[in-house]
Amino acid sequence: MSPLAPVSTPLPAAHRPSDGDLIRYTIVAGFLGAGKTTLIAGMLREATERLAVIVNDLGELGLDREILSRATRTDQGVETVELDGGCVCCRAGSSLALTLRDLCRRENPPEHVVLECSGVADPTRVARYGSRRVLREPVTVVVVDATDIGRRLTDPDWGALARAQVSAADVLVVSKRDLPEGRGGDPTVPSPWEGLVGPGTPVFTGHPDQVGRTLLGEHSWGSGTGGGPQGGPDGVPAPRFEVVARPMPDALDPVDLSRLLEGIAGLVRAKGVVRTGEGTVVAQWSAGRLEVTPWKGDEVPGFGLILITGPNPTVPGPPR
Amino acid sequence: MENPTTPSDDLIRVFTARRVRTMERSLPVATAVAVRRGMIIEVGSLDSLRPWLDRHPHEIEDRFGDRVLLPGLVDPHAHPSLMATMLSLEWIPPETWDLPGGRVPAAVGEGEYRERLRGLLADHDSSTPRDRPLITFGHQPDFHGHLLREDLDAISPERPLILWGRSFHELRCNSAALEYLDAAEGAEWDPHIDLESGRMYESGMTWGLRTLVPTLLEPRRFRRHMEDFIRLAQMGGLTTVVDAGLGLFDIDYELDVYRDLFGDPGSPLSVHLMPNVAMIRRKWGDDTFARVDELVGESQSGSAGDFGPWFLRAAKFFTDGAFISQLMQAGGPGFIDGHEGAWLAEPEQMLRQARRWWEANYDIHTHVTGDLGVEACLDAIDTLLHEHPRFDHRSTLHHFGLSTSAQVRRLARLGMTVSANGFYLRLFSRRFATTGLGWERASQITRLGSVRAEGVPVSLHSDVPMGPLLPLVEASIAVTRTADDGTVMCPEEALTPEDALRAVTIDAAFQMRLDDRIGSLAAGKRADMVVLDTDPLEVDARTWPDIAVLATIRGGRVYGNPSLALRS
Repeated sequence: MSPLAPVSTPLPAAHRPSDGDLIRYTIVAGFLGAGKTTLIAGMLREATERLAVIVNDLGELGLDREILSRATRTDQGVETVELDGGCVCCRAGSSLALTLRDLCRRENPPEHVVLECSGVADPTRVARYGSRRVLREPVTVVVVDATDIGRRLTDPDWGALARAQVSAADVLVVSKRDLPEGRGGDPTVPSPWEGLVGPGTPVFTGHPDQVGRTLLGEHSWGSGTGGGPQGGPDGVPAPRFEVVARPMPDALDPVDLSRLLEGIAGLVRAKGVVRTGEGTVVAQWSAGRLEVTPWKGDEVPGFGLILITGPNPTVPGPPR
Repeated sequence: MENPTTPSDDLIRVFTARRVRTMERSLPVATAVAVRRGMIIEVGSLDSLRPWLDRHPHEIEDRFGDRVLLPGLVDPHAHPSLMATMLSLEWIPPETWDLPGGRVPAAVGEGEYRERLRGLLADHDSSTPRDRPLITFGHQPDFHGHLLREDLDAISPERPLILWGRSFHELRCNSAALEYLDAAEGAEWDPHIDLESGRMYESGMTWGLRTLVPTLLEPRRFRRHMEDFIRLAQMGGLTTVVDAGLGLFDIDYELDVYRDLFGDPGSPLSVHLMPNVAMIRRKWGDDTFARVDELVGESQSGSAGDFGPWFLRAAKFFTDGAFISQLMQAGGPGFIDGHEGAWLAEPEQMLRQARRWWEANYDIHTHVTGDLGVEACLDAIDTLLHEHPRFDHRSTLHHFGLSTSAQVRRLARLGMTVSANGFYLRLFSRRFATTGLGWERASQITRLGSVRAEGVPVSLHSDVPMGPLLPLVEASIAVTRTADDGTVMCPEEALTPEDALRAVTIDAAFQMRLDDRIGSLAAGKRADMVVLDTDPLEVDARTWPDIAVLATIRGGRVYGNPSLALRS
C-alpha cells in the first residue's frame, strides 16, 4: 500500500524529490532476534543526516540501548514507545502517533525517522501512522532470520503474522544466511519467502549491520560488501540499485503510466500516488505489471512515483 | 469514612458471631475470634478462649453475634488509579453500578441513554461554563446505539461532549469535543481517529487522553476519587486489593498518593503493588529493576511499615490483546469471522523481559486472555524453569479467558496458578458463542473446574474498572456459571461453593504470597474480616449477590459499610 520513498542518500540533485522538506520515514519490522536492532545500528553509524530512532522495547538488560547508543551521534536521538495492539488500560499516555508527532515537531526535527517495530507488529498497520504532510510515505524494511523463517511462515499460530510481515516488505533483509541451518545461500533451495514478497522487491542477504550501513550510506542499495539482491555471503558483487523520486503533478491514464514506466531502462519496481481520469490511485508496478487501487487516505501528500531501478536509470521528464 | 472503632492497645477484643468461616481446613467453623493489637490471638468459641480471657483484660464485641464472619475478601487484580479516574466521570453504564455516591442504574436502549445524557447536560449547563467538557463513562453501542458526531452535535451543540466507551477503548466526540482534544491534528497522525464519525478508538484514544488525563489526575480530584475507591472496596467486603499494574499513569505520582492514603493503620483497605515494569521503565529507565527491587526489599523486611503500601515480589507482564474487544489470540480454529487477535508481546519478548525478574525470585504475573496467550506464557515459564530452576514460584496466569484442557494440565505441572476474571463468563460467553468462538469454546471460558481438579489454587478478580469490586458476585458466577441471559454455560467447569470462597480469600492470598498474614482466620494472622448477614455456605450460590456486607474489619478495627451509612 505505501508508496515507496527513497532511502538511499544522497540522490543526484536532479532526482531530489519535490517533497524534500518532508522527513524520511523508514519502518523496520521482523520478529525478535532477526537482526532489526543490528540493522538500525548500522544505519546510525553510516547516517549523514539527523536520524531519530523509535524503538518499541529496549529490553530489560539494556543491550539494545547499548548497541544503539554506541552507534548514535550526539545530534541523533533514540526514542522509545510501545506500538499498537496494546490496551489503553496498559499503556495510557503514550502512542506511536504522539511520539512521532512530538519528534517531528521539535525545534530541531530529525531529517529521517527510523521506527523499529515490535516483533509482533504488522508493518502495514504501523505504516498508517504519521502525518503525510510531515513525513514521507514510509519504506518498510523487513528483517527475517534465515534459520527459522521457513518454520515461522508455516507455523499454525504465528504464520499469519509472519506472512503479513514479509508481504509488507519494500526491502527484505535475510539475516543468518551464512549459518548452516540458514542453508548457506544454496541457490537450488527455494527461498521460503518466494511468492510472498512482490516481484522485484530487493532482497539483501548480508549481515544486518552492513545492510543497515548500505541502506543509508553513500552507496546505493546493493553496493559494498553488504550483499545484494539474492547475493550470497561470499561477497559476490550484487547489482546496484538506485532509488529515484519522480513528481507526477498532472493527471494521466493508467495506460499512459504503464507505457511511461516500461520506458525506464532497468526499472524493477515503482510505487506512488497518481492522479487519473478516474480519481486518485495508488500505483504499484513490478515485473512489467501495473496495479492501481483507489487512494483511501484523506489528503494526498503529493503526486509522484518512487522508482527503484538498476544503475544509471534513464528517467524521462514529465509526460506531455 | 465512618469513624473507625479503635481498640485500646493491649485490650483483647473478642468478636463473636453466629458463625465464623475461617477458610482454614484445621478449624473451618468457629463462633469467636480474639484480637489483640490487630492480630488474631485465637479462633474458637468463648469457652475455648477462656485461658486468654481469664488472664488478660478483654472486651466482648457481640454486635455481630447473629452475623457471619469471613476473612476479609481479597481482590488480586484491580486498577485503583484507573478506577479513580473513571469515578471522576459521569456514569451512564449498561449495567447497574453501586458507586459511593449512590446507585447508578443501567441505561438500556438508545432512548433511555439519550434521555440520561440530556439530563446530565442540563445539570452541567446550570452549574459549569459551557466550554468545560462533559465526559460520560459507559456508552456501549449494542445497548445505547451508535451515537456519532452529528447525533452528539444535535444533543450538545456547544459544550464539548465525550462518551468514554464501556469497553474503555473508545471516545465518541461531538464537534466541540474534537476541537477540545485537538483531534484534527490527531487524525493526521493516527489512523484510529475518525473526524467524520467523531470516534477516537484504540491507539487514537491515547491522543485524546493526553488532554484529558492531566485534568483527571489533578491531585485533589484524584485523591478524592481514590478515597471513593476505598469506599467501593469496603462496600464489596474487601480488605485487601492488589494494584496489578502499578505505573499505569506515572509511577512517582501513584506512589505518592498511595503512601499518603494507605501509609497509616487507619486505612480500611490494604493495597499491595504489582509493578507493570514496562510502563515504569518509561519513567525510571534502566534503574527500574534496582529501584523496584529496593522498594520490594523495604516492603519485605517490614521497614516500610506494617500497613504499606506493600510491594509484592511480583512483576506484571502481558501476552495477548483485550478480551472484551475479541483481541485475544484464539488458537485452533480461531475466530468465526476470521479476524486475528492482537499480541501485546511476542513470547520471546515476554521471556526476555521476565528473565531478570525471575532470576531475582520475582513471581511472574502475566495478563493472558486467549489460549495462544496462555501458551506463550507457559512456554516462557517452561524456559525459565529450565534455565534457572525455582521451587515454590507462584507465577500466575491472569484473566484466563480461553484455555485448553491440555494447557490446564501443563500449567499445573509447571507450578503455576490461575487468577480468573470474575466477569468474563457472565458478560461475554453468550455473545462470543454466536459472534466469536462458537458454543463449545465460548461456554468453556474461565475453565476453572479443571484447574481445581488439577489441585491448582484459583483466585477471582474484578480487574476494576473492567468489572465491579464485588467478590461475592464473582464467586457466585464461578459456581453457577450463568451468563447475562441466565443460561448456564458449561456447568462442568463450575467451582464448588467452598472453592469459590477460597478464590476470593485464602487462595488469592496464596498467589500473592500473603497467605501467611491474611486470607484466612487463624492465630497469628491479621484480624481482617468481613461481616455478612448470611452464611454463603448455607444458601444457594445464586443468591450470593444479595448477601449484605454489613462491615469490614481490618487489623481489628471495624469499618461500617459506607453504603449502609449512606442509606441510614
